[in-house]
Parts: sequence; structure tokens; C-alpha cells
Amino acid sequence: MIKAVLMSATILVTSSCAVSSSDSLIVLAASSTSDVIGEISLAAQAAQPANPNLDIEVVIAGSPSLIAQLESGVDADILITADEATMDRALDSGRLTGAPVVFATNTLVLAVAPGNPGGVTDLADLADPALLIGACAVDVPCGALATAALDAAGLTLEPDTEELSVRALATKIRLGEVDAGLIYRTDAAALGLDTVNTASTRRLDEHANRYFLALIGETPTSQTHALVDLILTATGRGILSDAGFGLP
Amino acid sequence: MSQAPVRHPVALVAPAGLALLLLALPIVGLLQRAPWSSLVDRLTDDTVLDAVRVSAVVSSIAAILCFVLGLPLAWLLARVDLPGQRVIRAVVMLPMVLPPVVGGTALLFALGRRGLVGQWLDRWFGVTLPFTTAGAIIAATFVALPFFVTTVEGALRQNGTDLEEAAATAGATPLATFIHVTVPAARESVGAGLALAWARALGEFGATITFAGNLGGRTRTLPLQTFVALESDPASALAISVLLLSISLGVLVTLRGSWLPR
Repeated sequence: MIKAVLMSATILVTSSCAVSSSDSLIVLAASSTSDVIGEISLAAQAAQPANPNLDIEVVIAGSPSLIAQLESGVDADILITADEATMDRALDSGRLTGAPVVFATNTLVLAVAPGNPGGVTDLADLADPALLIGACAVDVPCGALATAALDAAGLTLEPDTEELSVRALATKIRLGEVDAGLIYRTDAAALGLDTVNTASTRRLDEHANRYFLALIGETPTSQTHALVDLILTATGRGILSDAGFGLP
Repeated sequence: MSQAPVRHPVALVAPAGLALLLLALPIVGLLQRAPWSSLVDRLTDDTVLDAVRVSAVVSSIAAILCFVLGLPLAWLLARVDLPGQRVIRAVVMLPMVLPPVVGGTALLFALGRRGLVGQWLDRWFGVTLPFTTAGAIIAATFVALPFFVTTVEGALRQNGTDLEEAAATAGATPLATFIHVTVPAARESVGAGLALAWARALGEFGATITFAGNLGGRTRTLPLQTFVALESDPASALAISVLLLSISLGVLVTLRGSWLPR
């Protein structure tokens, strides 16, 4: 009896491994790239009509979560982080192959809740304790970038919440639960959020973070290479640029 | 007539063992990686102590709210024939099976600044619950309440109404009967329900981060601190996990006598 149960358990384990290593391509992608990676995946599937089974699975999370997953040995093919610091941590894990490549850049905008209930008109309003201000946690790339940009402007943020991914913050701005926050230009565009445009907010453009892409595992498949090529060439660059990303 | 000796169905041992393994293995995995030598240092770190304080306040007030609001609700469900009783009971139980993040989203749409009720709280009283300790308490109460209500309701049903009828015959008012007869008779289950609700409130994560956000000293409870630390300082996350695990086990072991079968 015990033998039979163990045998069926073994079969289950091996078959699930087989599924993930054949036609399924797993991309660990930083939260802020969720839309474009979805679009690029669709383009990749369209570009490979000979392989209708190509199944691209995108795992979306804040960059630090992705690194934690990588360190704990998750089975994946491509890693996309929203800054260099998190990619450095990924390199330390020893699970990457080759050098990470920069494929896009992003800048911050001051996004406000629909109707701007807090009357936010300037970057300095982020330090106003009377307003409900959301921030990205400093461990998340958008949080690190915001800290750098605000330090340069001589401002200290007084956040009411430190969200764990830029999308979580963007969503709370869209719902009107916070008055304002610094989010990526691309997320503001994707969610159709109003942004403040003054001399002080234009200086946010001086601080850009770079999106890195790296291969996971010792023997990347041809499909993995094909997807990476797509991201780095005209198709991918067009999708990235349409979404508001900068290109290297 | 001689009775046949009861024989154990041995075939059940293997799946039972696997079930136990599934439950126990993660605990062992956690304990073998825990930073035992620096445990105390990590748990007395300022950010962790902030989270301990927030968690203590949030879970204790949530447990008190469960008692104040849940005791009448348990009585209502156990004693009064309500129309739509099954639907009401399902609503009461729902947070036990609902993903907490869904609960948090629902709370946001109900009590958020633009929510169904929240917009009026904001407009009339200037009260906004998201991103406040009060919001975290509401999220914790939302998930913990069913544990209290179902535990106490079960006891009230089991105790029956004989004592209450006797008290009424002796001239006690309904409220006096409830306070002096009904509740004392169910005190063990009330205690057990409180402990369970408190433990559930202490462990609450999904509804809290969705509804109350994440800010040190205000809404960042121990489970949130664990999640944040997992990304930057895994050893600290493990230390907090050990703390939460011991508290949860402690509560369950203490309950063994009253609520759980011996």
C-alpha cells in the first residue's frame, strides 16, 4: 500500500517537471513590465505558428520577490528586474547564465488620484503630512528610484503606506485611496492616471532606472533565445516604446 | 453474544502518515533554517519591535471587538429563528474560506475613501480608514470574527435552553438571563473562541496589506514585517516566523483542554 502511494507520488512529480521544461517558458517579470511582457508574449506566440504549443507563463511580482523566488530555486527561464541592484542580487544567486542586458529604461511621474482630491500641484506636496501619500517600499526599485529623486530635490517623503509593488501603489492612486504618489511613467499611462507637470516634476526625468533581462539556468532553450531576441529587436522595442518606456 | 474485537483498517495508516507529513514538514523546514543564535537580537530589532507593538494592539482590539460584537451574533444565530438563517450563517462563515486579499479588496470598496460607506465616513466625519491602525483592526476583525462566532454558537446550541427557561421562570429579565446564565454556561467556549480569534487576527496578512497598507509603526504587523523582511533580510523573516509559529502553537496547546478534543 505504502509502495503504491509513493509510486503514484513519484509519477506526479516527474510528470509535472516534464510539463514545465518542454513547451512552457517561464518568465519572472518585474511588476512594472507586466503589460508589455504580456504583449511581447503574444507577439512571440504569433511569430511561431509552427509551435502552437508554445506556452509562455509570466510570473509578475516586485523585483525583490522575484529574486527571493529565484534564490529558493524556482523553475524559470528568463528574469526581468526593474533595476540594477536587484539584478546584482540575482547574479549573486549563481543561477543566471551570461551577462544581464539592459533593454529598457523608465522614469517616475507624480500621479494623482482621479479628480485630484488632494489638490496636488507640485513635487513638494509629497512632503505634506495633511495629504494621503503612497510610496513604493524602499526595497522595491520604484521606491529606491523615488528616494534618489526626492533626495536630489531636497524633499523627504511622508508616506501613509509603503506598497510592495509599483502596481499596488498605482492601483491605490487610481482607486482614490491615496492622493498622490511617485510611480513609473508607464504605469501612469497604462492606468490612465493624471500626472502633475511642473518644473520640479520634470526633474524626475533625470533619474531613470534600467530594466535588466537575464537567462536563468545553464542551458537556455532555443525558445528562450527566441523570446529574448524578440524583446531586444524591433518588435519588442516598438511595444516598449508605445508603453512609455525609454530605450537604451 | 460475544463481541468481535475491533480491528484497525491498516490501509489508512499510509495516507494518514502522508497527511501528517504534509502538515509537519514545513514547520521542520522553517525550524532547521531559523537563525537560532541571533534569534533574540533579531526579534528585539527596532523595526521588529514596532511590528510587535502594532500586532499586539491590532490583534488584542480585534479580539475585544470579536467578543463585543460576536457574542450577540452567536446568541442570535443559536437562539433566534431568523428568516434566511442559512444565508446569514454562510455570510458569517465566509471570511474563513475567502482569500484574505479578496476580503481586503472588498473592505476597500466598502470602507475605503471612495467606498460605498467609506465615502460618507470621509465626507461627514473626516474619517478615512485605509492606511490607519483602525483599518488594520477592522481587517483583522473581519477575518477573526467567524472563529469566535462559530465556536460560541456551537456551545450555546449544545448547552440548550433549560437553564435559561428556569431563570425566566424565577423572574430574571432576558438580558440578566443572558449575562448571568447563558454566557457563564458557555464560558469555556467563549475563552476558546477568543483565543482562536486573537490568533487568527495576529496572523492576518492579505486583508491587512490590501486594506490598511504597509507603514512601520502604524499598520505594519508582524506578518507584514515577515513579508517585507523576506525580500531584504530573510534571516529576520525566519526569526519572526519562529515567533509567530510558537505563539500559534502555544494557543492551540492551551486550547486542548477546552475546545479541541483531548
